[in-house]
Amino acid sequence: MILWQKEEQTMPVQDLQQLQLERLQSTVNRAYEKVDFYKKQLKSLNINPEELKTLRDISRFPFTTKQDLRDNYPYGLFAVPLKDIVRIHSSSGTTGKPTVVGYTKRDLETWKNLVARIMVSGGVTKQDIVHIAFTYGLFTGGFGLHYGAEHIGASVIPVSSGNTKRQLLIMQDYRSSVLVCTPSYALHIAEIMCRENISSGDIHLKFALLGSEPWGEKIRGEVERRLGVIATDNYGLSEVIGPGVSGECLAKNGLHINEDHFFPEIINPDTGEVLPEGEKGELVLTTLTKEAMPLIRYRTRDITRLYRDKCPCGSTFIKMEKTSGRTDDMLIINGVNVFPSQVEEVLQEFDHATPHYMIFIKKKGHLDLMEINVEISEHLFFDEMKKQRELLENLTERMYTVLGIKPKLKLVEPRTIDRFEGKAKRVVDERHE
Amino acid sequence: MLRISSLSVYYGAVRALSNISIHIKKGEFVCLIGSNGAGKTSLLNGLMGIVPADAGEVVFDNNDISALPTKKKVKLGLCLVPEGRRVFPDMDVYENLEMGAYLQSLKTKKKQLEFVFDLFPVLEERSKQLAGMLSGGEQQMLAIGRALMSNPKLLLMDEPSMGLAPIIVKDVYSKLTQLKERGLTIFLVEQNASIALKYADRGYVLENGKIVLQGNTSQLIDDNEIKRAYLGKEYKEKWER
Repeated sequence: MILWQKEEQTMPVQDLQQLQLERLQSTVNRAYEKVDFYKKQLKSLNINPEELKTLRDISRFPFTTKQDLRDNYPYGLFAVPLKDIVRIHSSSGTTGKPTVVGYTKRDLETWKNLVARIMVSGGVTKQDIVHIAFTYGLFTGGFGLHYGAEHIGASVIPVSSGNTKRQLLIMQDYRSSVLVCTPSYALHIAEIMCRENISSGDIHLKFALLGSEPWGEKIRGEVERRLGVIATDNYGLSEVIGPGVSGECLAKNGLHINEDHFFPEIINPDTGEVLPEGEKGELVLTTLTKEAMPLIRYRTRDITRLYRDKCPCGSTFIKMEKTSGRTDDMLIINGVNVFPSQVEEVLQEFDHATPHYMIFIKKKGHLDLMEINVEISEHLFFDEMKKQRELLENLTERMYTVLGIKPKLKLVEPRTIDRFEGKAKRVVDERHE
Repeated sequence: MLRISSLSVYYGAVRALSNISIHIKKGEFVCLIGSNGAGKTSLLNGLMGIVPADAGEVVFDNNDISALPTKKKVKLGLCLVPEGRRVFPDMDVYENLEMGAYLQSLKTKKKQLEFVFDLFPVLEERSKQLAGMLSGGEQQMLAIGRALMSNPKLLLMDEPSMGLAPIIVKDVYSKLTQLKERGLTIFLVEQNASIALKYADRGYVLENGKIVLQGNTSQLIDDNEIKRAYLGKEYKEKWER
């Protein structure tokens, strides 16, 4: 199998660990010197960067969380001044402010190579026509894969998301050979093909690189069969870099982490203790080369397992299993990250809405559908249809702005939603039932 | 070929270097750049055992050489060209070169002498001149030639550009490139970042005794972070433009 940066990707583990140590030490040194947050944090805990003598010593350092990114909104975690930043991306936060990430010129160079590695390992060559159906914009998905594919020399069609019929027309006429999107959108495309009487023989797809939401072998089987492709998984998160953190090769057996740029650990999410290789827990990543925004021990909240095997693709990089859940309450709806707390926050802005709500996540065809039932206050009489409609419209619009997706809202009568004692369970995910 | 992990050097209570980790592969030309006082010379001295390292490991060709005396390190194939050349001014060029080979057999000596004269024809022309009479550039060539006489596998250099005119510096570096092309592995420390990054394959950036940046020289050469390592922070607030 072909590798994009063979020398790096096939490095003997001992050399790799030396490289990781070098980069880890300089990352921590830089973060300490250039980012006030890290300097304060480490000083208050009486930890000196000099303690980092081996890779294992990183476990003495504190975690960085999404909350830390929010507390330092927008640019507080940058290690370089804004004039060195050439790109800014952002992702939704749990509540309130979103999180902001920046890239220097060198970071973008790194990023496109990491994505190129994953694409090449997933079968893409410069002969391919890459159809990117991820949303462009503040999300890292679209641009991340876009520049990776261009760097390989493939022809890139930045279709972005939506309008599936037009996507299919483009696929047929422009002869797209690689599809980049979420697994559920791939299935949705298959569904529309079925409805429009288009068979997998009418399109020219060979490979699909799917990511940004968890998916299993069953979905892979279906995508591969119905679109006539080989489908691989890739993983990333915008705080760390975006797509390009890890990806499957054609062996389709675990995602190789780009270990020369990210140092992975698995921890027990409750105690924070590092677990031995092979055990399941929360993935924690330290960036090894990020200039603009180095992160030390960032808690991804994704649950997985790390293992090293002799992979037929030749890469020596450690693998992670497909992620199998979260250690927080984040929902992934059509590839968009949504926190229930964001819903709560919107409800607080409206006089006639109460904080009593239920979220239902359903499947509509192959796409996800988010339904929110909201109790209205007793002051809004149920016969005031016009006011109700207004509230519904305004709420939907506001939710769309905050969540990044449009939920289906339903107003329900006062006192019809369960009151919870202790921990409220406001989300019913019916997708996997 | 060479792997340094978490090397620290103290002078009394003063820390000169903390946790330096560097690797050099066979055939590579690697540089370490940093401002005056960043700890560059301390690293070479710690590496060769001229000053004792307080912690860390140095592995050369799969042998742990951390505790070996300097003499043994030279025998294994490490050789240092010191800062400011340090040729023996009252000896002639030929004698200077001979001094570099005093651990070697007659056969190696002869072979290396041929190699050095081939690379630096000027040394052959001036072999009978006193080293102290040579120009700065020629002295630097002689210092490199003297180091090559010990038939090193890894050539270490301390500030080859020091005290030399820019055009001569270019000469010295192009000779180093020729040496690399002939298979020699080179590691040098240098204050003159622009010249070192232009010729070397990979670089490390040292700031106050710590490495803060590294990478291929092609990526480092325009990096503003390097300017900051030399001149300090030039901004007050992150968002000023």
